[in-house]
Amino acid sequence: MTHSTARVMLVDDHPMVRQGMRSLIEAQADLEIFGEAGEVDEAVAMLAPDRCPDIVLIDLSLKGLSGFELLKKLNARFPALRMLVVSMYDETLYAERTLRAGARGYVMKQEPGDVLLAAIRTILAGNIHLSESMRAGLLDRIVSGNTESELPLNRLTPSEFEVLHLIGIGRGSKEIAALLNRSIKTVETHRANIRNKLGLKDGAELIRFATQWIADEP
Amino acid sequence: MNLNTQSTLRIALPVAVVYFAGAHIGHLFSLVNSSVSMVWPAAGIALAAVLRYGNAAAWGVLIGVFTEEFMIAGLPLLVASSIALSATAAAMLGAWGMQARSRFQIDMQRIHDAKALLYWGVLGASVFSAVTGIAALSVAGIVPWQNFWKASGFWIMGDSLGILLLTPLLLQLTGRNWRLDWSPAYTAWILAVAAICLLVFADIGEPLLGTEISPLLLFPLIVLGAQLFTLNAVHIGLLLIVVGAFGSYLAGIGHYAHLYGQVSIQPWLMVSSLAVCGLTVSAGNAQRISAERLASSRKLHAWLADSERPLPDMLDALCREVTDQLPHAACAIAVLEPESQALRATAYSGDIAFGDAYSRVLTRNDSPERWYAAATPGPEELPLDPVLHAAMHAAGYSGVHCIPIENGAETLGIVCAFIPGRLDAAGKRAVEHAAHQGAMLILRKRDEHALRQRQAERDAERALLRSLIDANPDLIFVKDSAGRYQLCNRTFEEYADQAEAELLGKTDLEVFGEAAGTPYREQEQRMLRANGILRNEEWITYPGGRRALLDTLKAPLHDAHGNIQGVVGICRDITQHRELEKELVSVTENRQRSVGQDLHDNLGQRLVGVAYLAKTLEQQLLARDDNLAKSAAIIVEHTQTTIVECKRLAQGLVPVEIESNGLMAALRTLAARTASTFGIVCEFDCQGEVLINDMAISLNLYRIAQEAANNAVRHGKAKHIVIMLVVHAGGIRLSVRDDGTGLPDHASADHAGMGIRIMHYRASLMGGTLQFLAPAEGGTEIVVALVAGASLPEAERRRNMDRRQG
Repeated sequence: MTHSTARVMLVDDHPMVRQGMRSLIEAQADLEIFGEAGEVDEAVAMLAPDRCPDIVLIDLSLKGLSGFELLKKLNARFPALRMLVVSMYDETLYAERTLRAGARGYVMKQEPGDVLLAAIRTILAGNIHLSESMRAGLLDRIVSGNTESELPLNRLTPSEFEVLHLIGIGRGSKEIAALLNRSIKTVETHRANIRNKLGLKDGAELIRFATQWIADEP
Repeated sequence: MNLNTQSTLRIALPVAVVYFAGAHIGHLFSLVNSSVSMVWPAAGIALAAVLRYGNAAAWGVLIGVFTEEFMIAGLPLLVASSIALSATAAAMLGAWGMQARSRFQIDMQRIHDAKALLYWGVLGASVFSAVTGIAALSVAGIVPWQNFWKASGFWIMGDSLGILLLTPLLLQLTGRNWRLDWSPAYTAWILAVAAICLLVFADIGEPLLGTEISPLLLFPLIVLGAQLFTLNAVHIGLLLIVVGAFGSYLAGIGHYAHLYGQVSIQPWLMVSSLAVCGLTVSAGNAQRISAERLASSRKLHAWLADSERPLPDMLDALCREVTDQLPHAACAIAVLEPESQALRATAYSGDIAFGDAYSRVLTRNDSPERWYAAATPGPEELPLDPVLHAAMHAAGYSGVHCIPIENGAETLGIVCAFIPGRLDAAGKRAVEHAAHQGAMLILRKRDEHALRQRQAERDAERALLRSLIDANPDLIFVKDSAGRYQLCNRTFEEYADQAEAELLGKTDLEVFGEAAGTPYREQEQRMLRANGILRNEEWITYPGGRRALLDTLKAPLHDAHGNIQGVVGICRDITQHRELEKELVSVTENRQRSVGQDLHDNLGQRLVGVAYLAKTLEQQLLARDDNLAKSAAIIVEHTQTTIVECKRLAQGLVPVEIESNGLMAALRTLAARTASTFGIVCEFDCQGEVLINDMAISLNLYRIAQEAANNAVRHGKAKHIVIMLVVHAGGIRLSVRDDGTGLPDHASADHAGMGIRIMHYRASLMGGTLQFLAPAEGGTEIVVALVAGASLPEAERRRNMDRRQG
């Protein structure tokens, strides 16, 4: 890296959040803004193998939960790209999953700006950022050996996972299609695949599973 | 002297006197130079007395015979006593034979009665009396033994003729119909009998007709009299003949003059045969008349059974019957109207002149009193109403005989017979008969009318009830205690897909099949045993496949004495109602969700932006060592607090907590948020680990707790709230207790505001119950209880979930 300052890219659908972040980051001597994007495609279009920021701050709620999609896309295309999830959602819900999808850290938006800056810096330094409580929880799980690697859930593709999540929080197919900007048919295909993979016999069972799974999430 | 003896004497003494007189009359018919009498009326008197008055009269007979034989005939005491005993025994034997053996009826209206009299009285009694009497005389040496049979024969002749002539006559005279009806026909007949007697027995016609006139002429006269008149009327004629015949024989004038001084049975034979002839023919005639009566009363019964026939028609027929029996008479019946108490001309029969006069008279609506005045003086009197009388006179009628038609003390109307001359007994009976039958007809018709009226009223009531029931959109049915349908309305017919007529008498098992019907049956049986009201909600399927949710109420049906008669059921279709409730909840839910979403996705984001900007400002001011940095730091802090608030608010509206961490966590958050938002104490108390896997139940419980806590703070001004969640083997129990002012009285489901109604609805959605309690220490406690396994049916839950998705 030839740059003396780290370049930060912002992906958030809310302009005011971007404005706040931008001003905060630009105020830092060691950080500068690489670019901003409001949605997944825009963000992907901004990047090329020879034109990458040092870190991308990604909001999960880009039209639904497309933040996940972006995470996975970028992770696939630019495995070295460092990503930090900055979200309104509770870390207990999503932090671990975003890490699995390739993020290097998770910060809740209600955390003070200091925390965000610290997280950026931690990741730029090559580490992973998580809140203390999340970190403790994770370690605890590892120590107690309770991992989810064997779960059939892990056989789901990221899109299917996203759909399952949306079903779990009570969204209908139409809503999911609108949120993910896909056709209902696609969503229905996802639903069918999820059912097959998880061995659920019908839609009702799928809904029951999804809600239960959401409720059981640590 | 005791009472019995007194009453016995009261009968016995007159009988003795009459017997004594009869014996003396008998002596008038004694043969010349002999004590043998051809007619012994005393025997007839004795038999009639015993028949009419029983054994008391036998004492009279005994005294009478003894007095006669001992004191008048001067027989020795022993002989007189023996004869008295034998005569009395003969009368008792005859009476016993007629009554006990032949079932003799004292009014002698049957040919059978005439036969009984002939066999037991005329033959039996006289033979017994003669044989025992002559035996006594022979033993005493008064009658030589060689004359025994001859003397007995004469005795028999005298006694038998006495009985034959007098017993029927006396029985009639001592009975009710003792009066003779001196109708013109009867007078003519008596005159004819007397004339022939005079011609035959008194030689009055001899200068003109010689001795050619035979007593045989009397036979057709007697037969004719027996056909036309009553038995006693005939007997009067017979007595004339007896006097004539024996007068001729004993006095030696007229027809039997040639027998004078000889012993001959010719007069006896003629008189006896005439008497037997008259007796049998008149008894036979009486039997025929009563048979006709019977037939006519059968006809009346036929009329009564024929309720279609109007009363005037029937009364007309009754009038015709009277005029059939009374030639040249006219008959009219007027009926008293119950309402106006006025007589109305109803029916008449007779010639046209009578009809005109009658209707002129009766159209004046005479008061019953006036008609009674006309009716009461008696059959022999002429009518008192001058107008009526004048009218009748003009029409050629000279008399009217009216008899009220009565039912006990109540007067129903009047029957009048208008006759050219006097009314005889038969005519009177005909009118009385018509009055009696008229009473039956009128009463019957009145009953029928009342019945029809009641029926009409009942029909009208039923029709009203029917249309009320049928107009009701609820399913309504009534079953008897055996579960058979007794009534159902149109809506129910639609559901059962059968007409009411087909349904009635069937059970649920027959109507809906065994599988569907058995639960109904068992449920109703349980309810009847408990004698309580049953209310539940159930899904049914209409024949077309439409499904409906019913709010069913079943109650025992009691009779007037409070005994259980069956079940009455009313089922209200609440499908639409329930849909609307759901819609309402779902609209509210959606609204909350969208507000929550907006708080989270927009307002929250803006605040995040503001927080970052403020942070930037703070850092920049800090770098310049500006004191304002502190103020900026405060802005940052406040903004961050606001973000958290905003998130909480959004979560309250969209309880992500439930979806992620379950009901327990969500309720704990709810308690914390309530406490911090309103600055009160709000605790969450949960015993043990409560895991509820059913998302719908969790959400509903959460919403109820949320609403209850809100109400407690907003309406109850509560300062301390405890939310408690308990899961036990029997189910789930959520309670929210507060120390507020308590709920107003109208917090029941029926009158409550929307919030409380939705709470109830949510509880019912889970198959649970919601109760508002008022703890003794004050405040309010809201308790939701779910019974394990009694949650929503699967289909219902699915629908619910689908709704949430859509």
